[in-house]
Amino acid sequence: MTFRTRVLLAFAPVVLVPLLVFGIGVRRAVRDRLAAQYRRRVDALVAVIEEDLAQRSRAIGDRLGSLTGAALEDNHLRAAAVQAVDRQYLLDYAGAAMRLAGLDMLQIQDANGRIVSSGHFRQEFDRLEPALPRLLATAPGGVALVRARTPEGAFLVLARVDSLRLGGGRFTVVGGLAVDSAALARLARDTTLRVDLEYPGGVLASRASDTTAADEIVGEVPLAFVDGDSARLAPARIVVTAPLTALADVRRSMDLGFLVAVLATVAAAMLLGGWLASRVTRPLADLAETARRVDLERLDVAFGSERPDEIGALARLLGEMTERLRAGAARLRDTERRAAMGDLARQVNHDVRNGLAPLRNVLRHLARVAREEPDQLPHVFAERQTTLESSLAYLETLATNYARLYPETRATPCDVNEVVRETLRLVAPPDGVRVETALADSLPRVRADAFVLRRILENLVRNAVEAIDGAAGAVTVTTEQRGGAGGNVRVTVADNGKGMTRPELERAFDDFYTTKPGGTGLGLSIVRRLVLDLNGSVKVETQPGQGTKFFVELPGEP
Amino acid sequence: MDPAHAPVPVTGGERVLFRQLYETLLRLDCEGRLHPALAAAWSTPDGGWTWTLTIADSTRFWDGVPVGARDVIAAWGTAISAVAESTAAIGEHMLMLRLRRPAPEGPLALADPALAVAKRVPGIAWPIGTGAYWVSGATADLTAAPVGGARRPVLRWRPAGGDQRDLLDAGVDLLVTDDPGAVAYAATRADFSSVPLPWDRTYVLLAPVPVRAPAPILEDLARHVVRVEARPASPPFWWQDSTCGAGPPPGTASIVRSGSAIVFVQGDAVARDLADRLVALSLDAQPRRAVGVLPEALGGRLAARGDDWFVVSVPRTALDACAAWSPGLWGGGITPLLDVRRRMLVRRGGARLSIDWDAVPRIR
Repeated sequence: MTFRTRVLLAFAPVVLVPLLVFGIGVRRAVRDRLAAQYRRRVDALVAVIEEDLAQRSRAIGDRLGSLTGAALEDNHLRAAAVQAVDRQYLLDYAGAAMRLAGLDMLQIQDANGRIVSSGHFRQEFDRLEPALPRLLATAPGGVALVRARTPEGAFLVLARVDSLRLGGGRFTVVGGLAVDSAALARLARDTTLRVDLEYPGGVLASRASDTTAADEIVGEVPLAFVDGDSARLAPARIVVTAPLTALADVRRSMDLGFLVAVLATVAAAMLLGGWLASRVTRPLADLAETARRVDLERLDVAFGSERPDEIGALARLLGEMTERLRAGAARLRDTERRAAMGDLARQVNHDVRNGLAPLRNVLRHLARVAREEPDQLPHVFAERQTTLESSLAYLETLATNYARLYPETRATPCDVNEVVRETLRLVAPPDGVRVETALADSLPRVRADAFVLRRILENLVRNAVEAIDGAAGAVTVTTEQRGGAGGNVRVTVADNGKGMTRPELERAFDDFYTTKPGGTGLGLSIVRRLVLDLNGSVKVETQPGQGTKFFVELPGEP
Repeated sequence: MDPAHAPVPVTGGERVLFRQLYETLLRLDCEGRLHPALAAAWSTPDGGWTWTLTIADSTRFWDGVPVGARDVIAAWGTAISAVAESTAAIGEHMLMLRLRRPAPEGPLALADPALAVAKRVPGIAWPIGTGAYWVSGATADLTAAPVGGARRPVLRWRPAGGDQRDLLDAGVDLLVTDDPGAVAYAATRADFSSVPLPWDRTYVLLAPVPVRAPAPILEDLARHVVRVEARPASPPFWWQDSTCGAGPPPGTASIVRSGSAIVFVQGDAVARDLADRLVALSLDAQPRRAVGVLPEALGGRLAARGDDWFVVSVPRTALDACAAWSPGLWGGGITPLLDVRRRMLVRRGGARLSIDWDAVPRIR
C-alpha cells in the first residue's frame, strides 16, 4: 500500500465519523419533533371531529324537533296518517319535509315500525323496520350511524330519532345528515391528514390513500352503528391518520443532502489528501528516481535540496552518500587501473622478453659464427634474417597494441551519426553478414573525440561481426536520443550471433579476456575505458545462441 | 320541434303538431273507426290481403300541387315495407298494395303517422305536407296557418318548460299533459275543461324471465307510486299476438348476479318511480338498484341481455302488432305494470277537436 493510499484512508474516518454522528443526530431530532407535531395535529383534529359530531347531532335533533312540531300542526297530514285519506300526500310528506329541514334522510314510521313516508327513498313505504328507532333511542348520545337505502344504493347517515303522536297513534321520525367522503374531507381540511370512517362492512375514506406510509399517527372517535342485518348496535369509529409521509420526505431530503455532503466532503478530503500526499511523496519519488540512476558508472547524479525538512535532510544524506560512493568508485577505478597497469607491465615484460629472446639467440648465434666461422656469416645471417624480422614484427605489433590502450583524446562536439557512417564505411563484413543502421534524426551532438568514438564503434562492430562467426546474420547499429532535449545519446550495436554465457558476460570487459582464437582480449576493455573517459556508460544484454546488444550511452550536448 | 324529424314525430309536442301538418291516406279515431283522409275510397277483393285505394281529386300539397299515387308511394319510401309486400300505382290517383298480413277490417296500418305523405324540397326546412295546416321557419315558437286560408284558427305552439300551470295562466287554449298539478289547477278554472285522453302508454317490466306482479302490487303502483293518471295494465296487449311470434319465449333461464340493476330512461319520471318501487319491493329477493340511462343508451343495454330489469313504456295500441314489434328487441319476460294516459286541458269555446287512435288531438 502506497504512502498516498495510507494518507487517503486516514482521511476517511477523520472526516466521515464526525459527519455521520452529526447526521444521525439531526435525523433523530427532526423525527421526534415532527412526530410530536403530527401527534398534536391529530389530537386537535380528533377534538374538532368530536365537536363537529356533537354539533351535527344537536342540529339533527333540533330539525327533527321542528319537523315533529310542524307535523302536529298539519291537519292534512293528520288526515292522511290517521284516516288514510290522500295517501299520496303522506307518501310525499317526508320528502318535502326532509328538503325543508335540510336533512339527507327522513323516515316516518308508525307504531308497528312500518314506514309510512320516506324522504330519501319515497318508494320504500310499507317496509317494516322497527329496530331502527329502537336502536337509535339506545345509542350513546342518541346518535348513531345508519346505512340508509335509496334506489341507487345505500349511503351512510348520522341519524337521530324523534316521535310524535297523531290521533292517538305514535309515529317515530328518523332523520339524519349524510356522511360521505366529501363530509370527511371537509373535516380533514389539512390535506396531510386522512379521516376514515370504519364501520362493519366497509370503510369510508376522506381521500384515496395515495401512499402506504410505514409510520403513521392515529387518533379515533368512537361511534355507534346501527346494523340493520343483525338488528343491534355495533361499534364504528372515525379514524384520523397522519401518515408520516412528510416525515419520510424530510428524511429523504435530509438523507439526500447528507449523502451529497458526505460525497462532497469525501471528494474534498480526497483532493486535499491527494494534494498533501503528493506534496510529501513527490520529493520522495524524485529522490527514488535519482537514486535509481545511481550505479558505479554513474555517480555524478545530484541529490541537492534546499528543503529544511526531513526530505531535504534525506536528500542531503543521499547526496553525501553518493559523494562517498563517487570517491570510493574513483579509488576503486584507480586501484583497478593500477592493478591493470601491473598486469600490463608484467605482460609487457613477458611479451618483450618473449620478443627479445629470439633476437638475443640470433645475435649470439651470429656472434659465434662471426667469431668461429666468419666466412659463413652472410649465409647464416640470411638464414636467421627471417627470425629477426619476425621478432621485430612481433614487437612492433605489441607496441601498436599497447599504444591502443591509452590514446590521447581531444573532445569536441561530435555528430554520432556521422561517426557511425564513417566507421561502417571501413567495415568489410564477410559474406553472409549484413550491417544495417537505424539512425535517429535530430540527434544531439556528444562531446567526444571523434577518433575515440570511432575506436569504440570499430571494436563493437568488429566484435559483433565476429560473433556471427561466419554464419549468415545481421549487425544493426542504432542511434537514439534518451531523456528528451539535452539528454543522452544511445548507440546500440546488436548482432544475432552466438551470444554470451553468464560467465562470459561477467568477464567480457576484463583486460586480455577473449574467447576468440588469436584475440588480444583488449577490445571490450578498451571500449569500456574509452566510454568512461567520455563520461558515458556501456551495458550489455545477451542471450546465448540469440545474440548480443551493446548499449553505449553518452551525455549529449545541451 | 325539429323539421328534420318531419313527418314522423319523435317528441310528444311533435306528435300533436305533425298531426296537423302531415296527413295519412286513412284516419283512425280513438274508437277504432276508419275515416277517409287523403284516400277517398278503399276496397279489397281478397279478404284483406290486397287493397286498392283511390286518392281524392281535391288532395293537394301545401304548394297546391295535386297529390298523385306515385307521390304517395315516394313519400312512404321504405317505411311501407313493414306492413306491405308490394305497392303499385295503377293510375294517377289509384294505388294498390298487398299487405304482409290480411286486414279484413281495413288497412288500419295506413293511418300510422310514419306513413304520412309529404315531400322534401331543397332549401326548405319543413317537408311540404298534405295536412290542413302549414308551417315555415324553425323557431321555438311556431305558428301554423290553415292551408289555403281555410276558416280554421291559427295555431301558435309554445314550449312547455317549467310549471305548466303558468301556461294556462298565459292564455294557452290547449294543453296536453300528465302533470297532476296542472290538471288540478285546471279543475279550479271554470274556463277550462279537462278531457281524459285514451290510455296510450303501457309501462312494462322487461326481465330475463317473467316477474310475477300480483294485482295488489299493480294497484299499489297505480295508486301510490306514480304521480300520473294510471291504472293496472289491462289486457289485451298487442305484443302478445301469437301470430307474430312476438313475446317472451317460455323457460328463459336467469342468472341473477349481485348488483343487478333496474334500468329506466332518464327523464321518464313514471319509469323512475316504478323502478324505485321495484327496488324497494325486491320482488325476486335480490338486491337491485335503480339506474337511469340516456334514451340512446337503452338499446345497447337491452341488447346486452344481462340480469338487469328494465322499466320501459310501450304504445298501448299498435296498428300492426307484427310491424310494431322489433324482432330480437327482447327475448325475455314482459310483465305489464301500468297503463297511463294524459289529459287534454281545453279552453272552453275554443276550436273543435277530435282524438285519433293514438290519443293525439286533431284540430277539426
